[in-house]
Amino acid sequence: MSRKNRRKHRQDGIILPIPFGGIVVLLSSLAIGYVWLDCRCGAIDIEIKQLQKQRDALQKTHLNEQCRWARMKSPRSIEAALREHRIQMALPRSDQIVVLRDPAAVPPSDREEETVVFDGIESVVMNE
Amino acid sequence: MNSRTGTYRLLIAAVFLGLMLSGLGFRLASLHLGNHDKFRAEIEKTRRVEEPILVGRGHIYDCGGPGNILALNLAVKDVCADPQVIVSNGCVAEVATRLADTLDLPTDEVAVRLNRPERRYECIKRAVHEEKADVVRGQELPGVFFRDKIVRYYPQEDFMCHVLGFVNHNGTGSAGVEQYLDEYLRGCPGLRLSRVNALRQKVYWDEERDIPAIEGADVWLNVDQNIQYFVEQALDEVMAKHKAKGAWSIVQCVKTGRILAMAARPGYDLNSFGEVGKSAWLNRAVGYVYEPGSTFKAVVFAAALNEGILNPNEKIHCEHGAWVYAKRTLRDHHSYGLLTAADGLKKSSNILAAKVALRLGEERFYDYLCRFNIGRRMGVDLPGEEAGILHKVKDWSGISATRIAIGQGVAVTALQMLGVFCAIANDGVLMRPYTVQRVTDREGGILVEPRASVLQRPIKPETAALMRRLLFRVTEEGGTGKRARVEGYKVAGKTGTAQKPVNGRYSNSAYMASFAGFLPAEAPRIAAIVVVDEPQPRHTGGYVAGPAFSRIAGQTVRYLNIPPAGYRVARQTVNRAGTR
Repeated sequence: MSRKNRRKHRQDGIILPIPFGGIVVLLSSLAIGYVWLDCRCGAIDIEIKQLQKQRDALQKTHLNEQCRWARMKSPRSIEAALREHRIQMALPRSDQIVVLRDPAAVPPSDREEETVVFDGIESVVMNE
Repeated sequence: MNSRTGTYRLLIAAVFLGLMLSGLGFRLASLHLGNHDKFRAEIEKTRRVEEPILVGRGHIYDCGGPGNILALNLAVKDVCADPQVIVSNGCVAEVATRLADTLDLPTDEVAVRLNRPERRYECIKRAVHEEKADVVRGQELPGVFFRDKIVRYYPQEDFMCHVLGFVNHNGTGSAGVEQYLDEYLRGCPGLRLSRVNALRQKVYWDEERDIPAIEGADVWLNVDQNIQYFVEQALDEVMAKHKAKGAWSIVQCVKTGRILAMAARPGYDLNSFGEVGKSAWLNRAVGYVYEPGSTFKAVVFAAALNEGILNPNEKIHCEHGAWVYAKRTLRDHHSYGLLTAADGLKKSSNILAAKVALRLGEERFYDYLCRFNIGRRMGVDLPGEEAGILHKVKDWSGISATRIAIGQGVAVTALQMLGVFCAIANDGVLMRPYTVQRVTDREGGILVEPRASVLQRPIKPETAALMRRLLFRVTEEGGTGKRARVEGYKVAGKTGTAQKPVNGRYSNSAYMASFAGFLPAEAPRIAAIVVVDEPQPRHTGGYVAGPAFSRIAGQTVRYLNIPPAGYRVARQTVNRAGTR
């Protein structure tokens, strides 16, 4: 009778107690979680470094393009490009310009010339 | 050995091992639990990482917007070679030819540098652009490699060189705006204090401190690159045509004092500033003093008119070209008898100007010179500005007033001389000239924004108006400045031809030719000055500087859509920051 009981007791001992099992599962989960987080951090680290490199490269490209653009639109480059394409540009002569007299504004010169006339010789040899 | 001895030995070993482990355990516990600050600090030190956050120097733009970059930090490459590899491959000639063609270098020079089998390193060309470096890389030349580098780069090379200045090899601004605004442009590097674990991996979630970097601020100039181009072209033409030693010019907005263009010759390539002599670095427009000659007559006439002691129609005798005063003879280039004061200015009579100065009196004359800021700095926001030379009245000789009236015995900068004409153009208000429009941080926040400020009010508005009419006559037929006219506009100004003092005497072969003026004469918007140093063989201001002024002023008024007085622009399509 007592022997039978002892066997039964041994069979019960093989099964892990519930609290211990819970702790094992918890610790395992924590360990797996830690490993996963570590891997994830490592991956993010690599990703950050790649993105930083990419950003630096893009900044470099952006600066280069800005520089090229500045050179291209400089007056000297534009004139060189015009010359290259044999395009001659000049400001219009005064007879090619249509000027509109502003009815609201009387030229100050006209006002001044009405009141002040200087005495003097109009044509003498230049002092040169 | 019996079992008792074995047990004994085993016991001793166990005790010994136990003592050892206990000692280690004790030490471990003591290290962990004890108060060992020194060790902790050492460990902490090895785990702390101080990482500087580097910043780029700010950009410099003209007034036209962010597309017009004048200075920036650029990633470039040094093209280098390993001569040993090239020589061992037997391709010196081929590599030299290809490198020379691509990098614009003399082939023989490159070949000599490559033909040194004892060397493993030779820098062929520094600071080569990515595009050119890519071309070289595409050629797959043996023994050629590249080194990355960040440099301060000026895309337009020698353009606007004296205004921009340059950054020296230590990264410090050493001339121009680069020097004047160095503290803003350079920014402030930051510092990231973080920790690493035992494997020297960065611990991202445990950052202790992060001192953010302040990126270099961007500088926006008042200078317009198109007007600057007109000025530089005109100066280059003057230099070539008149075989001059130097030439400089400034264009300024009369109402605000904004500098729209400033150039000097000889210039230099900002990307290779070290390859020229230091004299080329001098911004002559603000840092070179010269005797102005007849342009200075505008000061004495303005002073006398302002004091009401001179009438433009008053006739003054010009002594037929030679006048002895205080036992010294003063001569005119042409002989005149009676001239009105107005004509005296138009014909640039030295004798008439001297007589006006004497009538004014030394003290009053000196007072007006001070009011026009002669002998003092204008306070322009550029380094190296000179104050000019104006002696105190107590140091004047008996003839000083008569000589200063004609621009001798007084020395000014072009900026000061332009200031006189700007004051006349601006109803007698002398504005402080300034080149910087604003300084902004990288987010666009304004750090510095200079405002137009009044320096002096040397003459009354009525006097200024009268002076404008008198100066307009200088460019009329019969005046000395008719070559400075601009088609469709009335130009007011004054020519100047000054003998240069050489070894204590006035030279008969070295002259300074200048023209300073403004337009439209009736309602001035812009003023400009052109100074030419030692032009040959013709040397007069009217002949040498007048046409350059005409070219610069003519192009500028068209570009800025400034209509002649009394007219209006029907449709304004361009909005310029300059004078609106």
